[in-house]
Order: sequence, then C-alpha cells, then structure tokens
Amino acid sequence: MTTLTNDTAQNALVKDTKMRSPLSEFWRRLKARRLALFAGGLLGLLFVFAFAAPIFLPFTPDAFDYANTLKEPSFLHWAGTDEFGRDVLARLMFGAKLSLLIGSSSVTIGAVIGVTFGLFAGYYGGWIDAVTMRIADVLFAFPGILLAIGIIAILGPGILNVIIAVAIFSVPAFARIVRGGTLGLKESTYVEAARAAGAPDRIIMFRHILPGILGAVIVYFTMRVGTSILTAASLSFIGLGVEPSVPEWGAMLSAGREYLMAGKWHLTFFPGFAIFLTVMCFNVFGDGLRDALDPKLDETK
Amino acid sequence: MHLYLIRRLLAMLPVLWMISIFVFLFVHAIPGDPARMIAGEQATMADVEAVRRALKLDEPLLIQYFTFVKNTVTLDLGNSLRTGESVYDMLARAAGPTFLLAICALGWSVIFGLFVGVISAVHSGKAADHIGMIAAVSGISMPNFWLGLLLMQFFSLKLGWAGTSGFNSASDLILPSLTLGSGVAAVMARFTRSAVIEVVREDYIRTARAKGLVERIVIWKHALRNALIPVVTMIGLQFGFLIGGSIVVERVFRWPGLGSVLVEAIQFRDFAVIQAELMLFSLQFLLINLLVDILYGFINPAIRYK
Repeated sequence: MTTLTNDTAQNALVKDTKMRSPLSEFWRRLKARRLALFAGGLLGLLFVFAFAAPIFLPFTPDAFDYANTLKEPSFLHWAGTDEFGRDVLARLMFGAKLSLLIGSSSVTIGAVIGVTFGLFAGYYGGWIDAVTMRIADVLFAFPGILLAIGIIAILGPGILNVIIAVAIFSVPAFARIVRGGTLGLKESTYVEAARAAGAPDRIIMFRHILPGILGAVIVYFTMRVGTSILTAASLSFIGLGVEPSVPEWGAMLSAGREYLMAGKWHLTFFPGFAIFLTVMCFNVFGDGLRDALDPKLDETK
Repeated sequence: MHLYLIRRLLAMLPVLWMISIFVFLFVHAIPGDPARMIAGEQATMADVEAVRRALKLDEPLLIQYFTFVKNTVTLDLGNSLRTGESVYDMLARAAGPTFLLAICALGWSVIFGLFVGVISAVHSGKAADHIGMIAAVSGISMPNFWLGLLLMQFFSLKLGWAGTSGFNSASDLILPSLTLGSGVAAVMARFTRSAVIEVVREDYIRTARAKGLVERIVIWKHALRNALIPVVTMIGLQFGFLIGGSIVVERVFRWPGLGSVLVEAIQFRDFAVIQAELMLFSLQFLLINLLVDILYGFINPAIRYK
C-alpha cells in the first residue's frame, strides 16, 4: 500500500517536472503572441492570393483598356486603373508574387552561402575564420541598399540581378550568426561524442552542429525576407531594379508618382501600402519567432 | 589614445585597398567597351582607338590600377563621361546637400527615438509601450519612398506648406529629413527601450531608488546614461544606414545630392562618376565607424585604448 502511494506521488512529480519537447515549448510561446500569429496568418493569405489570383480576378495585369485609363477605385476595379487602363489590383497581385519570389529566393541564396561560410569559419577557425570574417566585416560596413546599388551598377538592372544583389548583402549577416553558434556548439559534449565515434567533419558540421543553430537562422531568415522585399522595391523605385513595365510594387509606385500632381492618389497608395503591410508582417512574425525561440527574451514573465 | 587612433587609421588601409580593387574592377566588369561608349555611336574605329589611348585603357590592367589609385589619392577624379564636367566639382557640389539632409535626419530621429524608447521602457507592458512599439515596427517596415510621397501629397499638394522638389530654401529640408529619419527613429526607439529595460534591473538603479532619488532622475540620469553605451554604437550604424537611405529619398524629392548624382551616373553608365562616388561612400562609412569607436571611449570609461 505504501509503495503504491509512493509510486503515485512519484508519478505526479514526474508529470509535473516533465520536460516539454523544444518544439512544443516553442509552439506554446508562439501561441501566446497573438500579433505575431496574426501576421503569420496574413502572410499565408498573401501567399495564397498571390499565386491563386488569376483564378479570382477577371483582369490580367497587362490587359490594356484605353477607354478606362486612370480611373479611381470602383466596384469593377477595386484599386482603380493605371495610365494604360490596366487593373491596379491585378498588377498588385502579380507584384505580390514577384516580391515574394524575389524576397525569398534572394534570402535563400544568401542564407545557403552565408551558413556554409559561417560553419566552416566557426568549425575550422584559424586563417579560414580570419579571412571569412574580415570579408564579412567589410561587407557589413556598407548599408545594404548601397551594396545592392553597387552590384546593380556592375550587373545592370533586371529581376535576376536584383535577386543576386540582395542575396549578396544577406551573406555576411548569416555568416556571422552561424559562426557564433558554431563556436559555441563545437565544444559541446554531443559534438565531441560524434567526433569520438569517428564522424567526418562534413557530417559533424551539417548533421550535428547545423540543426542546433537552425532556429536562429530561421528567425533571421524571416526578418530578412521583409528587408529584402523593401530593398528590391527601393531599387525598382529609383529605376535600378526591374524594367519599368513589370508590375513590381516599387516600379508601380515610381510610375504612379507622375500622376500624383493630377490627384491620382490610388496609383501610389496601393503599391505603397502593399509593400508596407507585407514587410510589416514579416517583421512582426520574425519578432514573434525570435521571442518564442529565446526564453531569455521572454518579457511576459 | 593617439596611438590607438593612428593604429585604427592604419587598419583602414587594407580595407580601403580591398574596396579600391573592387571599385576598379567594376569598370572592367561592365558589359561593353567604355572607349566605344565615350566615343559615341557614330565614331570610327580610329576614333575609338584614340579615346582608348587618351584614357590609357590600352595599358596593362595592373598599370591602369596604379594610375587609378594615384589619381584617387591626389583627388584627380577625371571628368564625367556624360557632361564633361570635373567629377571633383560635381561631388563637391552634391556633398553639401546630402550631408545637411543626413545630419538633420539623424538629429531629430535620435532625439525622438531615445525619448520614445525611454517612455516605452518606463511604461513597459502598458498602453504607452504598445503604442510606441507599434509605431516603431511600422516605421521600420515603411518604405521611405512611399512615406516621402505621402508627406509630399499632404503637405505640398493639399496644404501647400512646402515645395515638392529640389533644395531652394531651408524649409525644403523638412519633408526629406522627416522621411529619411523615420526608419532610424524607429530603430532607435526599439533599441533604447530594450537597453533601458536591461539597465533598470541592475543593482545600482535599485540603490538610486532606495536612497530616495526622484524616479525622473533615476531614469533620465542614471539609467539612460548607462543604456547609452550600446545606443551610441547603434547611432553610428544608423548613420551609415541614413546615407544609404538618402539615395532613395533624394530621388523622391529630387534633392541635388550625392545619391541623385550616383543613380543618374549608373543609368548613363558614367563610370568615372560611379568610381569616385563608390570610393567616397566607402571612405565615409569607415570614418563613421572610427568616430563611433572613439565616442564609445568617451562614454564608457571602462574602455581604455592602448
């Protein structure tokens, strides 16, 4: 009888102090951040609309209609029409797809290169570390937009070159984050164990160390996509990004400003708001992810 | 201190050297033949060759590089390929407006950002904090070219309070510097808030409160002073960001600054101007970083430069 109560008590104790898995702990913290979840939800919706827009919309982004140029928003054209009578909403949706593609592909390229360099620099140390971090420091000394403009100056404008330019300026930040994490993890017991078991460096780096720092990488990735969309739009706005005819948000704003004097506010308002909202969602969602991943930052306690 | 300064200045040299190679190679990386571009569409082969010789583009790459370095150091920046004007004169004329714009933007945004940050930290978790931080994340996410157009639309077109473009009077500075500084104000507010929240937990703050100091003095004198150390570094980083952002904002307000000159030069592939501009911008960042490090020493007596 006594053993039984003892057992129950012990069970209760075990249940109380049970370690939650890191993932469920992370989810619990993220759920507490309503605003971040809301932003994440909006981003999901944006993805769906961006790629499914042609199904819903009766207009295509490049259908000219000279009888209906520069029309203000109406029931037919929710966001009005531009100087060629093209439906602004349809162009915005196409622009959403473009922005999301430019943002995510450039950051993915930047992350893959940066993570690889960071892993090697942190793991091997020595001159590899010194050279990599020296270059990262130099790249870091420049504000992103100027670096991107410098790269565009060499490569010339165009969507692909914008992606390359934005990717390059993401590299040093990823390299730094991953190097720092690698330095911390490479002396840890489980990595020692893997090394003792004879795992090659390649396996240790990518299979054992990388998963340990993936959280930080994902958080940074999310925030970076917002910044990249902003940078790409800025490049297009000053005429160094996509060709002016492409329905990219920054390019639409740039074309629309010519009609601002004539009171055609909708040509700049909607693209501007689209950039603002998208970038804001990425930032808020990224903030939430960061706070949920790092218990030290939890200010709600 | 002097020794430290000299060492830091010397440390800039290898970085400048790397940048000079990058900028120099840029000329050779651009698609197309610069000599042909300068000579013009209708030029004969002989004309193109003459231009090539005149610009010494027929010499070995290494010799060309040394000439480039020599000319840059002696501030002999050549002439614009488009207008024929001296590049030095162009940059000297544009540097003033850009610098003025950046200083005005930095001034208001740092003061405003610090203020909002401290208020948010003091009222952490309350309404004032939430409002401040929502405003901050909006400021960070705001495309400054859109903000510029919105301000222009409202204050210039609707109310007629300000001009829409160019730099003709001091009041023309208001809208561009508001636009340019908005992002920095937001970053400063967020950063100051977390720095102050961290400092407020320290023992000496408890001591200050325990000895009966007014809360206002505890926060603005003791807490802010110590929170300022990381904040100063941030200001330096943000100044670099401002100069980058000014390129875009200058385009919005047709501001006659370095950014407008750079963007036009890129569009016309005027590489003499681009080269000089990229070198100038790089030098600016390195000097700003140095300045921040020095300021850091003044604010934080714990750091001794040896």
